[in-house]
Amino acid sequence: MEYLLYSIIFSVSAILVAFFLEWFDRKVYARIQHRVGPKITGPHGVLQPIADFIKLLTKEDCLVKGSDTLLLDMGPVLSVAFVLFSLFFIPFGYSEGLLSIPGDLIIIIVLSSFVAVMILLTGYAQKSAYANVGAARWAELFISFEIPFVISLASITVASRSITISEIISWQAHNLPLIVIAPIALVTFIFSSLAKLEKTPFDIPEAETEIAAGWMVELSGRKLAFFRLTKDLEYLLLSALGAVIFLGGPIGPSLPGLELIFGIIWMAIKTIIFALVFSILRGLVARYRIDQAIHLFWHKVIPLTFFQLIIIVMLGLFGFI
Amino acid sequence: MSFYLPIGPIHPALKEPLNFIFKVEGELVIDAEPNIGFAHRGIEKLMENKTWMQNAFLAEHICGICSADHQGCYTQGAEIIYEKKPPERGLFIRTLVWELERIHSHLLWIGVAMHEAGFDTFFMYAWRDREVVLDLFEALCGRRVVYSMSTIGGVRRDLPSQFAEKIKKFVPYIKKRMKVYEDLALRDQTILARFQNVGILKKSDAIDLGAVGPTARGSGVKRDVRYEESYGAYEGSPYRIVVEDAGDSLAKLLVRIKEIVVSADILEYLVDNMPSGPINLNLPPMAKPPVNEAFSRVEAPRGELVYYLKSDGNLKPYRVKVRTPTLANITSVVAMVKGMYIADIPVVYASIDPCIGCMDRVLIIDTKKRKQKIMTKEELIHFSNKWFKKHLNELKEERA
Amino acid sequence: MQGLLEIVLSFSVVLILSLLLYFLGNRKKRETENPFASGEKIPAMRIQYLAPWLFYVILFGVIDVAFLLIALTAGQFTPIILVYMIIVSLVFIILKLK
Repeated sequence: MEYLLYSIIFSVSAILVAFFLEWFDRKVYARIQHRVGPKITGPHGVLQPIADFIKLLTKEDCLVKGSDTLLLDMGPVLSVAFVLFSLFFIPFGYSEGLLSIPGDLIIIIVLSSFVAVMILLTGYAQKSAYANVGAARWAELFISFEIPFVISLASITVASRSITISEIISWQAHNLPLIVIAPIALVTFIFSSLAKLEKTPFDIPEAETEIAAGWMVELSGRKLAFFRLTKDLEYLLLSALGAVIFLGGPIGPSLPGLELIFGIIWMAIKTIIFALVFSILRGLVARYRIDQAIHLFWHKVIPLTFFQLIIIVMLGLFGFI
Repeated sequence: MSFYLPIGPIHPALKEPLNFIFKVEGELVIDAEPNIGFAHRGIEKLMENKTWMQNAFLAEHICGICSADHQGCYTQGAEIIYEKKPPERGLFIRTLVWELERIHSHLLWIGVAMHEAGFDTFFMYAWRDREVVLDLFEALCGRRVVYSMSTIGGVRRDLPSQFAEKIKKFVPYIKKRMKVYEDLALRDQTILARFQNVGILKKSDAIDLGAVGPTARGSGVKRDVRYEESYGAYEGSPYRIVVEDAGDSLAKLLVRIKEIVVSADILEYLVDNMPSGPINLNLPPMAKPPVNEAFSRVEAPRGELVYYLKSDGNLKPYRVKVRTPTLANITSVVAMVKGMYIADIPVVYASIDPCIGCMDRVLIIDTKKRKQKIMTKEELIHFSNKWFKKHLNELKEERA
Repeated sequence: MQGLLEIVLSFSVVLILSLLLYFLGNRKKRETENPFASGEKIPAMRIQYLAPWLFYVILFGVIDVAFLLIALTAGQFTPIILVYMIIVSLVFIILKLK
């Protein structure tokens, strides 16, 4: 019973934190461009994403005749559920998440690829040329970024000899943070996360000036609201995952007796650092074309990840880590 | 498997209504078909119902961005009709507005092109620099967008006080910024990826398709009315033609960036050598011109702008015909976009700096039947005769 | 370390929460004749290309990646991975049969 209460509180607060991160992203992006960003709703516009979400929920649900309604209802609900569920494995505070089972890093990877499949099916279920092109682009991008994403996590698991997040954290507490050992994996992780989040150099599937809104062109009302929430939650998930596996998550200097509070503070700082990196990077570049993005991933990022893997294995063989 | 992908008239890539139907195979564009005429406003016909003086203000409403060029080109033609030569100072101020407008238009274009390529930060930066130009316009003309400066026989307002100092301050600023832009355009990997070797217009194609302005100059064609005619106050100004040979979108971007520097030089020259004297001839507004015709050319920011004016000795023009640069360039888009990816369409389309508001003056659209057709001369005469017969009584009543 | 109960419980919590939010939204449906086609009248269509094949590709990626991780983590074989592999193979078989 207690656990049920915890999980409900955790889910709701995760959604609220995701909205806060969206506000943060918009504010940083606006400051890069010499704009003000959201300003009116709440102090400094912090409630703007929530207002947007509620507004979209109240809009009516508009669909083209003959599109696949089951898929279009399933897609938004399941993708929010998957991302929210994978956030349960991320430790925000204690060195263990709300859920912690052996091999939970793999569960996060799998759930995130399920979300990708949901997006693909949503694009495919709509009867629109733009949505279909967007879905095809998303699929092409997915097979490009998923492999470097996983291999950069694999080099982490090899270095820490574990596929469990809590063990990776405890390994980092006893040794070095993994950013020192695997800096190239950090770079590839950031690249593939940007693609996963559809942020600017890789916002190809929903490129507004090319194919209107890509795979979400026909979505409206609550469906659109849910996919935007999915993207916010993914933003939180990937920032937190980066903070956990590269910076050690909640570990850091603290006072005795106040470990939880200090853990939350450290985790928040590290998550914000990753979120800041994503936001700044998206403000500094133009959008790649799909063929250029695929070329970038297959010819530059994937070799880099393998290079990192080899370095880690060599270090392990010679007993440095 | 190929399918048809419509882009426009309502699409985030196009800021103005125009429709392209692209035949697409996967992500490759096989063929393109432009359909124009969504912004037709009948201005040429309206011009026949207004006096020569009034038309100067109608002409500038053809386009919101190159309004001074439309007005200047019209007044330049009307001065030929009236057989009057405006005073030197008037010509200098007119040219000053033209060059400021070129800077503002090119900055606007850089922003739009970057937005099409997904680089929103550069877009914001370019438009921020454009604000400086708009502030100068506000000081000069009292308005930021549609200036109403030229009139037949000169300009309507003199330079405000301290304006030369403002220009002197502005010129080094914009030159510095253009150096930053050029560096960014040549160094940023994502910009190079999106602009280099995209939408190539070969030199021969540019000549065959009649491309004008930066579109032609980006393909290595030395074509510029400022150089060919040296109208206005361009004679003696430090003008040079900027030409890039590559013909791709990056070349067009570089041409525009370098042209801003040239325009800044011209601004400095104009302010330094500004002659004193009257600014216009103070023609009476109801002056009737002689029977005459005129052909006036101006280099608008987008390319060569042509006005043909004909007078039958009345207070109102007999015929006004406008040929805008976008109409000359729109055919080049089809040549440029073939063999490109869908993702390149916005960049290639934007690279000619299209201005649909200028262009659409030919097509007739029946909104009830949703059909569009181009009327021939005979059809038009027939249609107008029918219309007049139908509405003759109403017109008579109105006159009575 | 938690058991299966907590996993099921927490997944049902997030599922119910998202369903609740989804049904809180405006349920009024409106069907339009034509999809967004930039203001042109282009009939609704679905392009039958690549999607089934890409689904296979994604499954391949998922399986491939799981194998890679298992192979690289020094033999720490956990039952979760086994369950995952079985589910993925089942999905594969169902797709093949379909």
